Amino acid sequence: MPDKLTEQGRPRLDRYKRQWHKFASNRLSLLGLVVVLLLIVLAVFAGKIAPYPEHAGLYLDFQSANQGPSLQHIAGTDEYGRDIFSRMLFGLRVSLEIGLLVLAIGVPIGVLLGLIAGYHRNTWIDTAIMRFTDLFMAVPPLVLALVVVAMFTPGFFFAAIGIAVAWWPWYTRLTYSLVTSLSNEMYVKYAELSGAKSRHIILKEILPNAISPIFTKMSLDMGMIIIIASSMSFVGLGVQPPAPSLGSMVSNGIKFLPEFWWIPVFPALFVVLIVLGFNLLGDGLRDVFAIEEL
Amino acid sequence: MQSMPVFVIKRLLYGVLVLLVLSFVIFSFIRVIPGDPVRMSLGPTVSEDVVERMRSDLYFDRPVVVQYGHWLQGVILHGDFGQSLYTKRAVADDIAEFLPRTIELALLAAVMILVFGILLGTISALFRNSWLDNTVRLLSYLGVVTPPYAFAILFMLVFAYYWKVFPLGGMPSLPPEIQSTGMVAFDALIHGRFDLFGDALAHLFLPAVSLSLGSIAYQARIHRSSMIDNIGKDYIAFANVVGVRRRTVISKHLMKPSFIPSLTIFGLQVASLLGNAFLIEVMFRYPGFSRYSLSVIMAKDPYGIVACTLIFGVVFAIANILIDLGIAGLDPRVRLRTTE
Amino acid sequence: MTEQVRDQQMLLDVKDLSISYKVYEGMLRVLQHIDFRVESGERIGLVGEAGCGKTTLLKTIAHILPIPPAVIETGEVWFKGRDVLDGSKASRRSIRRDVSMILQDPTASLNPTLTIRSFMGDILKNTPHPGSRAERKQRMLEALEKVSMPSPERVLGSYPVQLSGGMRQRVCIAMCLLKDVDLILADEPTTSLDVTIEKQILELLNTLSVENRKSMVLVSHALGAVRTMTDRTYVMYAGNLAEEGTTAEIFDHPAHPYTEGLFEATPKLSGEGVSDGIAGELPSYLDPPPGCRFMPRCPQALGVCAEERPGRFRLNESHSVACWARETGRVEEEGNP
Repeated sequence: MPDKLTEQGRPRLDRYKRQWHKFASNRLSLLGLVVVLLLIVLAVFAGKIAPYPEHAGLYLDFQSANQGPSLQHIAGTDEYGRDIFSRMLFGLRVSLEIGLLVLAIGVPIGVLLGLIAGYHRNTWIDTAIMRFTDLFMAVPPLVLALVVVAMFTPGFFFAAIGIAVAWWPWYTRLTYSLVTSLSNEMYVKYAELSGAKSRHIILKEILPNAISPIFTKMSLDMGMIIIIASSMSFVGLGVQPPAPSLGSMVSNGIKFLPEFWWIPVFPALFVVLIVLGFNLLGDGLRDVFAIEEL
Repeated sequence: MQSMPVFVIKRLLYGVLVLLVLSFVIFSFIRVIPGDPVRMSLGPTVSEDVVERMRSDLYFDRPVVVQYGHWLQGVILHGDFGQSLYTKRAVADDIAEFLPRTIELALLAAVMILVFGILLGTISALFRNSWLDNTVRLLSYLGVVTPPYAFAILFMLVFAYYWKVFPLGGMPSLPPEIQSTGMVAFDALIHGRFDLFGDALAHLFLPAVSLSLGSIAYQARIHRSSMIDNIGKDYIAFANVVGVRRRTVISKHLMKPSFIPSLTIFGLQVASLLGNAFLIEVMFRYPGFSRYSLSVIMAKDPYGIVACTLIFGVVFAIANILIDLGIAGLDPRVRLRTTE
Repeated sequence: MTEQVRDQQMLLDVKDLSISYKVYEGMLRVLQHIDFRVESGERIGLVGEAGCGKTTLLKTIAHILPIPPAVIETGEVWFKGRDVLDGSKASRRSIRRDVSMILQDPTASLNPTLTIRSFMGDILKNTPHPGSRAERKQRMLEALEKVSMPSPERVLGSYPVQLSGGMRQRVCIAMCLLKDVDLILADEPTTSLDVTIEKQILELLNTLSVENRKSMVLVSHALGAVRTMTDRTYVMYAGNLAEEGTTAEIFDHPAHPYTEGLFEATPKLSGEGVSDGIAGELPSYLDPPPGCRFMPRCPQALGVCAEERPGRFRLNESHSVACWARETGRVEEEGNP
């Protein structure tokens, strides 16, 4: 029964076009998208774009140390004479990689558990999974991530594992509440009545509708994860030197305040830019899909 | 409400259970990872006998479950959290010294988040789309995307280096005669030592602001959107049409339900507060529990790590219970649904 | 302005009201050129399909229409000698004091975080004589008794979530009675309630409006109730007035094809069972056609119906209809080509 504004019955392409239109009508969301795309390009091609790619690792040139921003070094040099701008680009790559790795590990686990728990609602499976989830939410995420890292070796990989361990419960909770509310929708009940198997229902009916909120959460989370990852590097339990990481660049640079202010300030500002981009993008997605749970 | 005490007790018990399980998991994991913490702590020159003896004293040579049982017993009966291989003294003493300072910092930050976040959010919502609203929204957005350490750098540069208004870090220590809770500013205040109180506050200020600013921004955004959502609700329209004074509609009918999502988010803020305290304490060389935890974690100190996890879990759980109580106080639907 | 000196009888006079909603796709023309009158002590029925604009009309009168996204294109709403839409504080206060509205969903109408006593207390504190706490409590109990509420003391201390749907609606009605209002607007007061409760609530409204001699506008799908409880009735379709007249006239001699179809579609106990309803669907509000909105579904459509909006034609002194097929003598309409 058509109404003034309806989406059912329209072909899918129309719906995507409409969503894009809505997204693009908000200039801030577009800005977020542009920034994120730009960052991805910078990260992927860091090797080509960075003026001094060799500075990303061990490099010593004390003659050029601690120089302020200039034409040769847009963001100045650090105490070892390394070009900060180049290191920032490689640090960006590291940040994005960690973020992706965390999501790649945490989201599937979290969503899977949430789907299972949600579909077997009110059974022991549900209770067991949700209580298990509570366990990981008992301590603040950064604390948990640090403890996990401590039990292994500090570094890129275990930092990602640590954050993923702290992060997946949120996806379980989100998926669980989505499954619960979607299960009450008519079309799922019809599917049940017509005898469809539970796996079919989950995959075909529920999951496609859950994708938008999950995806939106992922882009909103990206910023938070990058902050946490950089915080871990900051305290020395994340990416280890001499690999460049924005967090450790900031923490190292603090002792050079205020004279060589550029050493911590530029990386910190860069982190702000990255998070800003992902947040704008995520907010835009949230507006388009009109999701309230986030 | 008779279900209230039941509610609290159930939550407490559940929280205790979760923490027990968690502590056991952490406890066991630490002990199965490779590495010899005792040897590391004593150094390479000490003889093997001494190392063995210490290992035995610390129960490291027993099965994990026995170790855990012994530790748990110590915690519950004597408040003994074991021995730290890092500070080389009882963990309980470390906790007593460092924890109050972090609590003080976190409390200050939490109060700031709640007060300023809700204040700004309310103003923003009531003057929707005005310049005031737009300014707050812009600043809030910037606040949300800026990590606390970035704020810390900014404030250090501006207020500690250029305009030497605030000290750069650290914290004055409490003379033993006025130690009550261990919280410097608080103890100074209740003992009437206003000079010390002022000094402590000055040292607390920058760290607290750096910690809370991002969260204030987030809280303001959430509260704003919560109020805006509720403005359109039928019960507000009904209250208006049925004759409630406009001022009352805003201050009571609108504010009360708007607090509910706000408080829920506040729980998350507390979580990130406790997490971010690590960096802030490091940056400002604040002698708090987070900085201690960090050192203990990096040193892979078995008793230290478990104790820190446990303490953070407890603090977090208490904060959550308080927040849930607050929400239940506001929302009768939560109170009356406690037939779980 | 001579207009300000209104007939003493005329409580509410809506003139040529047109309202649109701004949405993503454009402007939805929700109300078009509505004329609506309520005299002192009158009880008016307002009938029409879901989505035809009845709620919008009532909300505009009650001054609770959300102004963006709603836009008032034309028209005036005169209440007790004031134009409600002029934006002044005095008009707002006048509406608040003398008009009450019962919304469709009683659950949504009550603030879930406040006790009934708290809510009612706020209403009473805003009256000319708030009185002491004890006096207020007394008035609350009286109001609850008027709506036949069982155990009123307990209800006062309860939260909305503790009350049943029927009780919630009674509470809303009781709240409307706390003040001495002149006009009660009842927007589908029984739609979200059980059929058994529906009867009670309607009877309650009937008794109250008669006893207290308050003017009332009743919007309801329960046509039987409209028939017995109202003096005059308006029929709306797709944001336009289809027909108006005394209730007896409308029900006994429906003139507009839509009204005919509406009564036809209502299942009657004595009839031949359930009819097929009116074929077709509600038109789009985005780009309304220039002619009569009902034309696509109208079994008696003429050529002119597609081109021009029908004017109001007076059938007799108590009945007028907006339909080309019934054109007899036209009524003067302001601002309509």
